[in-house]
Order: sequence, then C-alpha cells, then structure tokens
Amino acid sequence: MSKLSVVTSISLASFVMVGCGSGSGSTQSTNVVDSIDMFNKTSIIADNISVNTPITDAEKSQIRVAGKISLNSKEETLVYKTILRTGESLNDEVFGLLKDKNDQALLLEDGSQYICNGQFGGSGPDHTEFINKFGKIFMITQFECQVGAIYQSELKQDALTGELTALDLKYISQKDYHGGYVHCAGSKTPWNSFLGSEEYEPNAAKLDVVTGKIDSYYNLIAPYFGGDLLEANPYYYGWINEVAITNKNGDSSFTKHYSMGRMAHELAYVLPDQKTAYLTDDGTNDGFYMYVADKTNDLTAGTLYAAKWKQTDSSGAGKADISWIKLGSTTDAAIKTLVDSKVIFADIFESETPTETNTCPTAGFTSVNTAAGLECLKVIAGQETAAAYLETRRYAALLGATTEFRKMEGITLNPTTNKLYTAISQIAKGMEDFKKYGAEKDSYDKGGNNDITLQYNKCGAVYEHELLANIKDSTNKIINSDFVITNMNSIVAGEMKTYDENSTYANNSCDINKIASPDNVTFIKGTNTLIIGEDTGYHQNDMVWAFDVTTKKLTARIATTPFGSETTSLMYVDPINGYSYLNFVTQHPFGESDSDKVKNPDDVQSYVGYMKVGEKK
Amino acid sequence: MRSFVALITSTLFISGLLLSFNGCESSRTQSSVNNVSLEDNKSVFLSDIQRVYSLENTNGYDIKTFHVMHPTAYTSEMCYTKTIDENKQIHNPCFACHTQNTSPNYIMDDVDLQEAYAFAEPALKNPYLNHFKDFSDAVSEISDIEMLQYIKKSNYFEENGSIILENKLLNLSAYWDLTGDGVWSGYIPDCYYNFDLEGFDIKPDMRLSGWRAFAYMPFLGTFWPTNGSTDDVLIRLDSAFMIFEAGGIIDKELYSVNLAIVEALIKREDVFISEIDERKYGVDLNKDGKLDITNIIKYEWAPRKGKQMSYVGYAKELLKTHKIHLAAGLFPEGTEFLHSVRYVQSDTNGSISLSPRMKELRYAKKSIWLTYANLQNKGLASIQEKDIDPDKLEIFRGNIESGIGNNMGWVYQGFIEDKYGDLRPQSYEETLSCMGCHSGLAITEDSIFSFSRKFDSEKSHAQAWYHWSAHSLKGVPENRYSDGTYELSNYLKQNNSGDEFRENDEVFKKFFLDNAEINSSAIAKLHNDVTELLFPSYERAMKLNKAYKALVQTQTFIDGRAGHISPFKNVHKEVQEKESTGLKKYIIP
Repeated sequence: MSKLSVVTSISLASFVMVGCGSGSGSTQSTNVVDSIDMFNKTSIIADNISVNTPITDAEKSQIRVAGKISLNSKEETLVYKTILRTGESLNDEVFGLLKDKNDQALLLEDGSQYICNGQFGGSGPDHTEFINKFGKIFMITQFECQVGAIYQSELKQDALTGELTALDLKYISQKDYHGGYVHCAGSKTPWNSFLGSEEYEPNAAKLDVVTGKIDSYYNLIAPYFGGDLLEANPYYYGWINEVAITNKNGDSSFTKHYSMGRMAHELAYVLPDQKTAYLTDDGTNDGFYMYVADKTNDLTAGTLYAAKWKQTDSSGAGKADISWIKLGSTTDAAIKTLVDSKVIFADIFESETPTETNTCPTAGFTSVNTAAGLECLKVIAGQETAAAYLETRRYAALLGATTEFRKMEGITLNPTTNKLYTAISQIAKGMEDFKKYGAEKDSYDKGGNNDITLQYNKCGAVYEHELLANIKDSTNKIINSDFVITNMNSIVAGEMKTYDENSTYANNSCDINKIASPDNVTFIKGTNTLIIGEDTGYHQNDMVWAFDVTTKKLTARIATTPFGSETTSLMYVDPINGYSYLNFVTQHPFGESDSDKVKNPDDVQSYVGYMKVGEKK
Repeated sequence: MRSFVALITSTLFISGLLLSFNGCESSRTQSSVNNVSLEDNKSVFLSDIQRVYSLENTNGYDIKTFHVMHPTAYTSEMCYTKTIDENKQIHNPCFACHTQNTSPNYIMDDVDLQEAYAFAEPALKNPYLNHFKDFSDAVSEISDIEMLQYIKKSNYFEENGSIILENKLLNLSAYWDLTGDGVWSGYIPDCYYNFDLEGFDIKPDMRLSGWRAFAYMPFLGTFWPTNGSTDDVLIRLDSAFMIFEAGGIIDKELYSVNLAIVEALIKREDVFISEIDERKYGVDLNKDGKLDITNIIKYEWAPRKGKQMSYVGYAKELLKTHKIHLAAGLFPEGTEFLHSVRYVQSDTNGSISLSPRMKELRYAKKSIWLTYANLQNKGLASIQEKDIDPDKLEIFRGNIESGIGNNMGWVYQGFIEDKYGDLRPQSYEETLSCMGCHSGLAITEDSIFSFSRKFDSEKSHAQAWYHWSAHSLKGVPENRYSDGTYELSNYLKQNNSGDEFRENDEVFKKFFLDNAEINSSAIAKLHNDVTELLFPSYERAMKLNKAYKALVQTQTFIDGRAGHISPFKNVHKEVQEKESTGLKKYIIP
C-alpha cells in the first residue's frame, strides 16, 4: 500500500489554481497566485492551510486545488482533470441524457434533450466510482435528476502519466425496476461493484389514486411512462441500487436492492466483512440504518435494523450510544413482488389525525414524528413486512427507533483502526431539544421520542463510530456482524461565527478555519487522513478538508470549489496500476453574470473528473 | 444532497439598526429614528451644481460592498402585506404574481404562495424597516414648486444632450469601480429616448440605437401611476437580428420582422405586421406554403411535430448553426430590456406623463440560452431543495458592475438616484431585490413581465410600437381574461384595494362604496378606459412624488423602496413559518 499523506505545510506561493472552461480531458491552465494569505495573519492553523479561502471574485469562481501532496515523501502537484462533461457524446450516447421506460431519450416540447447537467440550481451528475475489474478501468456515474440515470464508461489509463480518458459511454437501463429517481451519493462494494442510491423518496401517503398525483415534483415522472402518471407508483422509488461489471467487455448487471429498505437514501456503505452495510437517510427527522446480508458479496437478502440514539454527552456536537432495532429479514425478490403489485399506503397503514396534545385519539395507533411530520399510524395486520421495507422510516419510528437525525450524509471507514465516520451536515430541528435553530419550537419533536437533545449548530459535525462484534439487537439476538456500530461520537464540528461586515470573510457564517455542512467523507487508506467535502451555504465557497483523526485537527484545506457550485462526489480511489486518484464531480461555475461571453451551451454543464494523488510505484 | 448554495448568511442576526458605515452620519443611524426629516434640506435640490461623487452621495453607504444586510432581499417587500384586515376581510394581491406556471416557466407550486407566507426562516422578520417609518415631516418640507422643478430636471441627459451615466461610466469614479481597472464592465446607458414614428430610438447621429419602445398594459399594482411611478419599457434584440449578413448595416424592416417573430413566440399568437415580401427573407412567415407578400407572422411552433419557425436575416443563419436559439416563451440570446421608472408628472387637468427625472433605470440582458429541459431541471431541483431545506437562502451571483444573474439566463442591473438625485449604480443588495420578481414567478414569460403584455399589434396605434410620450394610455380599454372577466376590475375585487399595501385611499374612494362593496358605475367606466384607475389626481401624484423624494434622501433603498408618508398599517413586522394568508383557495384568473 502506498503511504500517502497530505502535506501539511506547503509554500503558499505555490498554489495551483485550476481554471475552468476548457473542454473535457484537458489539463486546465495553471497559474501561480500571489502568496499573500489572510490566514497567515488570522488563523491558528495558518501554516497548515493549503488553499486559502477565496477572496477575490476570480478566486470564488474557480476550482482551486492545493498545490501539492506527498507520497512516500515525494511531492506531487495536484491538478484537476476532466473525464466527461454532461452533454458530451461518445458512440451515440450523451453523458447525462435521461431516458424513458423504453430507453428512448426524453425530449421536451422544444425538442431539447433532457440532460441532467446540474446548472443554475438544477440537478446534475452525482456519485462516481472507478471500478478496476477484468484488467480494465470502468467509471460509473449516477445522476441526481428526478428521472434518474446511470452511465458507464471504460477508461483508458496512460501508463506513463496515469491520465484517464473515456473510451466509450453506456446507458445503464433501469427499466426492469421502473426507472431510476434522484440518484444521490454512493459507494463501491468490497466486491468491486457500484452501489448507488435514490434520495428523496415520494411521500406515498399523499398519493391521489385517481390521478396518480402526489406533488409537482413526483408528477413529472409521467414522461418516463410516456406521459401516463397512473403507470407510476411512489414505491418504485427510494431504493439502493447496484451496478456490477460482469465481464471484460464491460457488460453490467443492474439491481435495486429492495431488501435494504426504502428511504431518502444518501448512500449505502458496505464494510470489509462484505455483508454489513450502513445506510444514511438525508433530510429532516430521518433515521440511520444497518443492513446485514445473509451471505457475503450478496445484498439480495438480509436483515434490516434502525438505530436508537441514547445520548451520553450533550456538549458540542454530542456523543451517544447506539443500539439497533430489528425491522425485518427478507429478500429483494419478496419485496419486488410487493412493489410490482403497486401496493399503496392505505394497504399498509391505517392513519388518523393526532390530537392537539400530539397524541393519537384511538388505542392501537402510535404517534411518530418523521420526515413526513407528526402522524398517528397503525400497521394493518399482516402488513409488517410491507411497512418495514416500503415505509422503512415510518415503521422504524413505530418501533421506537430514532428518527431525529438531520441531513446525515457521507460514510467512510478507516480500515486500519476499524472506525467508521459519518457526516451530519447540520445539527438542527429534530436533533435539538424541542427547538428549531435554537428557538423554542415543537414541530420536530412532538409526538416522537426526543432522543437527541443537542445544541443547534448549523455548521454540522463529523462523527466517529466504534465497530464491535457480538452485539445484540432489540430482540435480544446477536447481530450476525462483527462491524456493528455501538456509539456515535463527534470528532470535528464547524462553528457558527459572525464576521464583521467589513471583513474579507463577511459572507461566511461558519468559521472559515473549520468545516461547514460536511457532506462527503472519504478515508485515505493507510493514513490518518479523513477527507471532508462540504455542501454549504455558510462558507461562501465549498471547501474540501483533510482531517487527522489521531490528532483530531484539520490539517489542510485541499480544495475550494466555485462559488455556487457543489462538489457532488469526492472519493478516494484505491491505487489503480500504481496510480491513486480522488474522483471529483463538480458543476461548472459559470453564472450568467460572468458569462456574457459564454454563448456556447457546452459551458452550461457539469464536469466529472479527478485529481491524481500519486505517481506510479 | 444537491443544493442551492445560499449566499451570505453571516448578517442574518445583525440588527439593521446598529450599523453605521465608515463613520459617516449614516442612513442606518437615521433609520433608528422613526421619523424621517430632511435635515440637510439645502442639498436636496442642488442637482445642477457640479459635484464629485463620494460616499456622501449615499449617506456613507458603500455601493461596492458585497455585504448584504438583508440576505433575503429577493423576497419582495409587498410580500409582507397583511392579507387579513381588522375586519377579517381577505385581500389577495398575491394572485397577480403567484399563479399556475406554463412551460417553459417551471416555477412550479408558485400558486401555493397565495395561501401561505412560505418564507425562508431568515425572511420571517420583515427586513424592510422603511415600512414602519414616518416620512411626513420630510414631505412637509418639500414645496410643490420645488418638487415640480425637481422632477422636470432630467438626471439622464446633460444639457448638451449627452447621457450623464455614459459620461460617468466612461470616466469611472473609484467609488463605482469594483475591480479597480477603470473600466465599467456592465451596461452603459445608450438610449436617447428619441423615438421615430415606429418607436425606434434615434441616436444624435441619426442612426438607430436598436432600442424600440412598445406600449403595454402596466402590470397589476405597483407600477400604476396612481401608486407612485410612471415607467416605460424598451426592447433591443442582438445586432444579429438587425442585419442581413455579418458586418451588414442595420435594416429597419428586417429588425421589425424579427421583433414581431419574437413577439409571436412570447405571446404564442399570430402577430400583425406591415406588409412585407417574404422572398426578401426566404422564410414563409405566414405559413401559407409559399414565399409571397404577408402582413402576418403566423405562430406555429411544435418542433416535436415538425413545426418550426425561423428568424430572418443573419439571425436565421445563426439559428441554423445553433449559435442562437428559438422557442416559444423564450427570448433569444442577447435580448435586452431597458425600464425607466420615473416620477409622476401631473398637471391639474389630470393629465399624466413621465417625468424627465428617473427614479431608476433598470436593465436586463439574456446572456445564456436555457432549454426547456434545463429550466425544468432547475424548477424540479428548486422544489426538492425547498422541501428538504426550506430555510436555505437562494444564491444569485454577480456584482455592482456586471449585474446579477437570475439563474434563468438573464443578468439584471440597475441605476438609482443618489441623495442628490443623480443616477448611480445599485449595490449588489439593491440589485438582489430585482430577483424577487424576475427569477421566481410563474406569471412572467422568460422572467419578463412587460413584453407579453404588449398591446395587440393589429388593433393598436403603430402596432403598439410607440413610447408613452407619443401616445397616452388614455382611452385604452381593460384587458379581458378568456372567460370575459376584466383584468384590472378583477384585481380590485380580489384585493379590495388598488395597491398591495392598501394605502391608496383615492382608488378606494373611487372604486368602493361606503360599505366596501365595489362601485359598479366606476368599474363600468374602467372597462373602457384604464386610466380611470391608473392615473392619480394631481394632489396624490405630488404627495407620492414627495414621499419618494424623502426616501431618496435617506438612501435606504435596501430597507424598502415603496414611497409613503405615514408608516404602513397593513404590513407584517414578522410572519410565522408558513403562516396562512387566510385565503382558502388560490385564484387563477
């Protein structure tokens, strides 16, 4: 294994600024900027900050990457390179083009192709993985648009430079599973497949069975079904999916893992035992879940659990013991039958309106407070399995699990220490004690457990978890995994800060020397370095940080992304033929104000690319 | 996980009352006093004396600042109106803007905003402090004569006819020069308001500036003269729409045809033009299957059914090579709008005209083409984002020089009066307030209000290509909805008032009876002549002119720019999260 560490003190004069705007595959222009850095004067971690916080407008609209990292004491320049740009064509496929149930391109009334390009606040490419299999390198990218899409490319690696270029492009059809939906983050399984997600599951309780409508967002799934909304069903969406390359020609299989439950999946992350997975649920009043597969390397059957938070420390971003409530055991096939039968909410639950005191009027109903708000629910006899898998969050709440997590995002493992890391991008709402943003408000805790009672911190935190074997679940049975989370301890948090209006940093409201709204996390194996990517409104530019889990210090700010753009995927890639990469998906930063000159629609796109972080060994 | 990255939140909890700017006697300090007076009255009317711009012109407010006092300045001030009055009567001015979207406007769920104040958390407290201020002392200090002299004096033209802002922006003050490069990177005013009989603006060298005035039905509410301002709107297409070939000279007929094509696409209806020969342009504009003489631009556009339209001239060539684009409901790249907002020049006979002095000069340019798919994707992501994180601020990029992007392909920029009545650029935050109306409303066509409201080309004077100075609104009948109901009358009925803030007593007295029932005889007159409603009395016009002038003196536009005398009675100081407007069912007229 390569010994890799991010240099913690580099010359500030050697920043590499990577400009944007050129086409795919090209190394972008490199400039050296002035070495004057406000951090030298203001920051306690000044010497360790690699990329300064963007100050000028020019800086704010560029992808900027720290100058150098070291690999076994050898320094290397980090440069961002693009592999594919949305809208780019290769062998008659268009990267990011959304398709219907017959795998035909979705066109709008003006004849425009529906490309998921992530511009001007639209959704775009999200999780990307490099898969090294059958002696080849494949790249799989999922797209976060409402009608989802997944594309796969074979990459060519330059043996001398490690440079990656796309050789082809394939659309991964999901038509056997009614199409994809809002694909968000993901991970790579230990068996080298792509594990994706569907976030923002439709609220099935709001389905109008006559029209098929739920809300303006969901209703636009109709074009996938040729305009017939009644052909759709909310339970078609909100699942974990897997793409596995099956041979050296790059053929691949696609599966939705119904046995892993339905929620606003941020991602599923499989541990080295090749059967335990953790599932984060992104939103307000959401849960945290664990899945233990029956067999290794196979997520088609297993047992699903929901976390229960027992707070042990209320200071800062808090600490808790975590126990697990069993929701059920089943197979993908069993749930697929249910999904395909177009079951509806009323088949699963009875519901009633809560009283003014937030209780349920009728015995047998239980009040729960989840992403859907306060509800009184009762599972219809015999529908427990449907409830557990199609309405995982509501069912977990009914069984007493904690549904108070707020915007739980990335997951990653340090395999050396067997510690897991998760990001909570904002400690707010359900995570507070009958409060919202520090002010009294009962919306998020009434009728629920109020398990989490932390102080409001909009800047968020990253948590560390110990993983243990022989842990019992809520039914007092030993969980069949050696990687069971038993606690959740904050290790690094952002800090709310008001900068003076005349300060250079006036437009930041989380301390610029600390994290804000952590989103993606990835561990660089063999090091102590946890990489934390932000998705924040509280730093003017999203930043990418290196954090040392032993010293518990932020050691470097390794990149800042353009003002207004999000880094939707940031993954450390294990060495491929001796080269290591951080893959990196971002939206191109052109807003209209600086784009008078930009009339080329190519510039209204998102970019999937990487930073090479190691020379060939 | 995808998100709008919110902008500038550090100031959320700073009281607007505590700040002062650079040690000057600041507008913010003044704002802590609830009664505004013109303490420096002598300087108010010194507009014609040579002055060098300094921070003093804005009472110390640095217009280059990126610092935003009210990060939700894109939530418009009229949105804080109390919709339920003391008698529990419901007033719905909201429907004017918040309605059912039609593609390619993908501002979905906008109609729901009639029913609830669904603001982001930072906007719950009304940031428009001016609403609660009393300007009566300041107003009483301004005489009618002074006011008339003031509004009659142009702050746009020098006496030699050159454009003041052009001169200033070409000799850039350090107080306006964001980047310090001596170059103004935004719009430099270049319209001479010198219109020919077809509404084309003629430059001093007798050439066309490209700007063309059009007559339109003023949008509901704020922009009626009875509510304090007169205004005009001009359009200009990219120069490619004015010429036959690259490097060619401007051809007025060709440009007129292209403007009519754009009009047909925006209105989605046939547009009447003066007779032309299609053979000159090689486009079957009337869609009769042959190239012949026509006086109609036929709207027939359904690309997926093979029904295409085309521009003419060089723009046609650029369209073929996808350098520019064409679609219903969207303006082509490079389209510009110029909107001057002015005082109400009124005489005692009740005649109304635009004052030479401008309150504001607003500018918009379409810089990027976004397809229906791009716009739908953005609309969907916006719903998702608001659902997951309703309190996250929207982000709008830009600055004082280049203007602010509205995330829909347009850049907006504005100039506003300084303390002395001279036009100066708007700060980032002052421009951010444009986004309230020009980025997220279902009622707009490609974020623009006016052009889809252009009068019918066949029935109007000069095909409705004229400036208000050539032809008044007098005698223009009301628009009617498809069900036959009248647009302005309906507004009065829904809102039970003539303005969003329900401060217009004159309209109320004229159109409502003592029992608050609508006055049907007044309404009957309104059907035939919109100025029955739109034009104020001389007294009201003067009062509102003075009120706005008093506001100009404070330079506190970020605290609200709706001129008034007494504090508003019908606005919320604070609303609750998702507070109901009291309206049971939204209205889509």
